[in-house]
Amino acid sequence: MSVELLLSAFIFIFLCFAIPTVMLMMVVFGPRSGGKAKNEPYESGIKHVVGMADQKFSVKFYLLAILFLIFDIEAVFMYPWAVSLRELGVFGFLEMVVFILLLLTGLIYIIKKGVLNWR
Amino acid sequence: MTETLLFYGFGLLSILGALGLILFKHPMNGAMSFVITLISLACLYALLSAKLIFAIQLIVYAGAIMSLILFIIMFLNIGESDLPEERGRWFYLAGGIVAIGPIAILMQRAFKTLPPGETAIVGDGFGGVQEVGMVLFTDWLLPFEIVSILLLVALVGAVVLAGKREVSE
Amino acid sequence: MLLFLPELIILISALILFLVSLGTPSEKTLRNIVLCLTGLLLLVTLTCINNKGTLFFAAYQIDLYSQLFKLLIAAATFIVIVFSGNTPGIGQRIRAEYYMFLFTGLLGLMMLVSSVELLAIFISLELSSFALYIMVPMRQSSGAHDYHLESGIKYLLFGVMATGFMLFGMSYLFGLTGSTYLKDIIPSISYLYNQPAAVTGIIMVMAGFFYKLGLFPFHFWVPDIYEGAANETTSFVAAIPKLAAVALLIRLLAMVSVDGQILVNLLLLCSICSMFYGNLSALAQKDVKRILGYSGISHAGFILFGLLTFNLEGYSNALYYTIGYAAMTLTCFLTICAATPNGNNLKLEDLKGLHGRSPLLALTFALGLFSLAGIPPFVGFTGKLMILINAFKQGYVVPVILAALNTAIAIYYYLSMVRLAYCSDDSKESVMVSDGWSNKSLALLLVLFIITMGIFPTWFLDMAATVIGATV
Repeated sequence: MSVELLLSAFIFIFLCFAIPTVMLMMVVFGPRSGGKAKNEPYESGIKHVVGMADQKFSVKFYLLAILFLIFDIEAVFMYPWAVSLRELGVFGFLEMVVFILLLLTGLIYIIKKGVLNWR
Repeated sequence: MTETLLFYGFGLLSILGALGLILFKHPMNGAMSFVITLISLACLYALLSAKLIFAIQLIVYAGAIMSLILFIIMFLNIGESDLPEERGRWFYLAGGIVAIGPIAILMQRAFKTLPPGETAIVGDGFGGVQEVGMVLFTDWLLPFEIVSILLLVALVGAVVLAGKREVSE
Repeated sequence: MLLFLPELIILISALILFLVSLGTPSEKTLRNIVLCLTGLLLLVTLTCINNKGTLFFAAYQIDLYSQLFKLLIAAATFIVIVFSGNTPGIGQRIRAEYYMFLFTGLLGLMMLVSSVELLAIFISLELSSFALYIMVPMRQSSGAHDYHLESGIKYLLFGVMATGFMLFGMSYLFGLTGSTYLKDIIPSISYLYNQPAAVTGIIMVMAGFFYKLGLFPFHFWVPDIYEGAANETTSFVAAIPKLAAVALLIRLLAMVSVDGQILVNLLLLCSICSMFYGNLSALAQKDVKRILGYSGISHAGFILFGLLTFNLEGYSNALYYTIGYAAMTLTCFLTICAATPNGNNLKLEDLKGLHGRSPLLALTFALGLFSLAGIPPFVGFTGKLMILINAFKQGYVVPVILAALNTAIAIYYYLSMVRLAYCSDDSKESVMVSDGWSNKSLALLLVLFIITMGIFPTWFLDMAATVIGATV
């Protein structure tokens, strides 16, 4: 049995049986308790949470998530490159230099435009 | 044998997840059921012994993109009252099935009438990280380099569009 | 490296604009930089027209066909840049970025024209689409129009759907032939293009280009995006991606021939439907850009109709018609941009008394519309006539009658715009028209071009036939 087969079989069992079972067990056997103290919001020791729960979030969080995603994809491309660099030689190295330089300009842009400044 | 069983299992799971994405009323439920689709697809790739794609699917899609989607759902903070009232939902569902029916029949015919060509036997290291790297950086050099410009455009575009409101206020 | 020169120039231009966007350039500096870069690009594409060769492991083919399309794309962009003036529809703060996206979109389109490998085609199409997805919602908000974000989202959603179809179709083609290179796919698919799997694959791959062209099943975005985007962006979207889409459609149609009956009938249906949909919907519109959007749908139908004869004559007719269409639309959009110096949309009432405000622009607009309507001696007439005659020779009798019927419907709404511009008095609060010497000379140039193309089609058709004959 190959590694991939084993892995996917494991994930299948996990998705189909393990997670539902755990969830079911939580409902059936899990301890239940109620009361005032349980229902009170607790935030790292601060007793009363300030502000409303349905406040608007700054678009910055979202922007940061997008930026993360873009550089995440950049990193994904480096993975196969690093493994086959020995065969690709200097040419492969230059390819990746162009790739990274283009994205580096993007990084300069976001730094220059102050996207990463957290005010 | 195990492969076939697993293939059908994951196929079923991915369809169920996609159905859940459409049918669940709350976006959070939909997103969680979409995770199942993404993971099952990753496993389908693994069954094809495409190891790199399996890993990328898990890291980028089930990991990064899903967390981005969940992020946004959390930001919007959708309560029960914000959800649209979906009238005639079963009606539309029936319409969708009627619309998809012919396509399904066409697809079935498409696969049945395929010429009995020989299935290509892939090489030993097929789908491995190194093999994908070799193809990606030689045959597909041009797409690879355009991807960097594509990412640059996406990056600047996100900054330009998201930063728009801030200044006008 | 010399083979790649036009693309390299665009890439460097985009990077220069990128650097410019980091600073705070004045309106005038930015405009001069952009004009210089576009002019340089036009010159370089002109000098590179005879280049031949392949690059990037044969994924990128440079021949007369691709270089001609690059020249057309560069020329059309130059025209758009010149008449969009100070781009009043785009906010001053993001103008440099706007031009950067315009150049990256251009890069995608130029690469698309030369790509002969499925993944390269897909990624370059994506690059051009991405830039446009961002350019559409970049319009400056104003009270008169506030739906540019909505149109941006619509454009993105429809675009992603079309791309999904296309990628799915590509997987079919790859599965059937085992190659992603068009030169391998075309001979092997020609044995099985009546197979349902091959039909599905080819149709789905074409979907991506149907979307760019605004053809019937993928036309939904057209009116909203035309109306919602800034006038300059609309001019770009209306003319330039369509040139590239036609270039790729001609390359892909080599996979099909007249024997592929199912496929031909399906495509014929798409073409006729888009003619009727575009022309009938345009009758009820109030916004000039929206009308031109619907008219674009019907013209796309005509272009596809020309391609469907699957002979060299049909292909060159379609190419001729596409060039003519780009010139005609740019003529109309030049007037729209010049008539709206504040960057607002142009309503039909705003056309009232245009002849009094600027006789030359009114004449240009009228001639552009005459040409779109298909009135001799302009290129619209000659192009339609050639396409219909060729289709008739091939035995498409009923479609030819339907197409001719459409031309008759279309005349009504084109001429009613001309009537408004000429036969009605000035409305009270009409905006002044910006007709500087650059707009005037450009208008003259475009009008001369559409008349020359219409009167002497032989030279253009021969050129188109030589170029296509060498490729397909």
